[in-house]
Amino acid sequence: MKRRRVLFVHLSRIRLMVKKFAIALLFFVAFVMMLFNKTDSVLIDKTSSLATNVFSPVVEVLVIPAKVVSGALNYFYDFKNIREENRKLKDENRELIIKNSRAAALEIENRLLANLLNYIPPEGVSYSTARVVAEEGDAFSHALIIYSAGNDTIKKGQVVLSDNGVVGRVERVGQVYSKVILVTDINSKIPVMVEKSRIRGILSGDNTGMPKLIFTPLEADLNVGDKIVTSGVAGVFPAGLPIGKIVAIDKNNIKIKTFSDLDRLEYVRLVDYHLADVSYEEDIAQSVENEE
Amino acid sequence: MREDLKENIKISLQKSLPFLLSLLFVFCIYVPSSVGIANIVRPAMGAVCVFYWVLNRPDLFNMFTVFFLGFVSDIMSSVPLGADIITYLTIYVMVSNLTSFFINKPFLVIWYGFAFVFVPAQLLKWLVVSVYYAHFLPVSGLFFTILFTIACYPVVSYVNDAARKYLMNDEG
Repeated sequence: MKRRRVLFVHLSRIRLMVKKFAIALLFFVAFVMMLFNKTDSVLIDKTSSLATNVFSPVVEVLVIPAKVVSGALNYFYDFKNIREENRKLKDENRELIIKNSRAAALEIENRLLANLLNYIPPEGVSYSTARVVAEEGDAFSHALIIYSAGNDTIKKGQVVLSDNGVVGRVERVGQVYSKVILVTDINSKIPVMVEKSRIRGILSGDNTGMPKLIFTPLEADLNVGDKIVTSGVAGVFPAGLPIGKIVAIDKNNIKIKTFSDLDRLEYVRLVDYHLADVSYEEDIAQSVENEE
Repeated sequence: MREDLKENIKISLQKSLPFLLSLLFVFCIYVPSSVGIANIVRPAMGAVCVFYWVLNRPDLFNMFTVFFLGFVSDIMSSVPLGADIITYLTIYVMVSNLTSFFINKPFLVIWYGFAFVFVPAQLLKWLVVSVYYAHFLPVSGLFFTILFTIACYPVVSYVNDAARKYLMNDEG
């Protein structure tokens, strides 16, 4: 009887030790995974794309009831504002007709000047539209998952736009779903410039709602309300795409509010500018080094 | 024979119910929302589920289940792979050592207990991810995530409680 109890005590001690060892091992595996992730391993990339393809349909199903509720609320809200909106659209339409005729004249002028300068225009731009399936936004990351099945032109690093401007870039490409890093994510670094003064800098996400403008010259004349557009440096984003405007300037921070409402994205536009197929990270890192 | 198979499938599904339910809660975080704040703060549903199930049914929610849930959560999100695994395992270790304290305690004490366990786990995640990026992440976002998650605990725990009661009834 006593021997049996001793054996039982020994067994439970061994079991406890094995359990402790297993937990330590799992922590160790998690840290190794992080290190692998840091090296930008292809294996991690492929596993992640595969898992996104497997799990995203579940999120799509979960979206249905949420969409029904928000759709009903939006319907009543829109109904209330329909007259005011109609008046605004009429005014906007009038303005657009004038702007359109001006743009046509400018295009002809531009073509004539380009001919004079022997300017070779870049290849045509191709667009594709994708539906937003899932979104992520907290202290640790800001991203979207988009449905990209059947879109063979989608590539890592491609520009993602909404109606109002740049929202991010393609981070991971899967067969059915792809991941987009938003401009507010900590991994997002975009070469930009102030539209009016052409002062250059880097738009850096920091996982808050408003990204920061960094690496601007100390004596730069920046004002609240200045429009920020892509600078085209590094050759990944073409120049002139609108991103946002300066909303706050203090000693250490220049905060930018994006033109796009990043929490109301239902569809996004992926733009293939047929730019050189280069590694995005390497190019941006180079650009950041140059700015420094 | 067919009855046996059916019974086996039923038992397997029942055993995996806590994990499947936790997975569902993890996916809920990614549902697009037009609420402005949802783009900055989202509750850590996975952490709530890990706390609840490790406390109430550790037999159905062992360390490997916790690891796998963290793995799925990491892969779905854009955080460095391993960050959520470390968070969930930390919660697992803390809850495993505090189980005897929480037994037969009123709901309010368990709720405080969740806050007590969740805050250091989330701070650890913040530290690990900050070290990974070599850049301190904004504390405001972290603060609101913690508050929002703690506020969500009763709702998530109510749903999990319903699932646990169903399991208990079925097990007799």
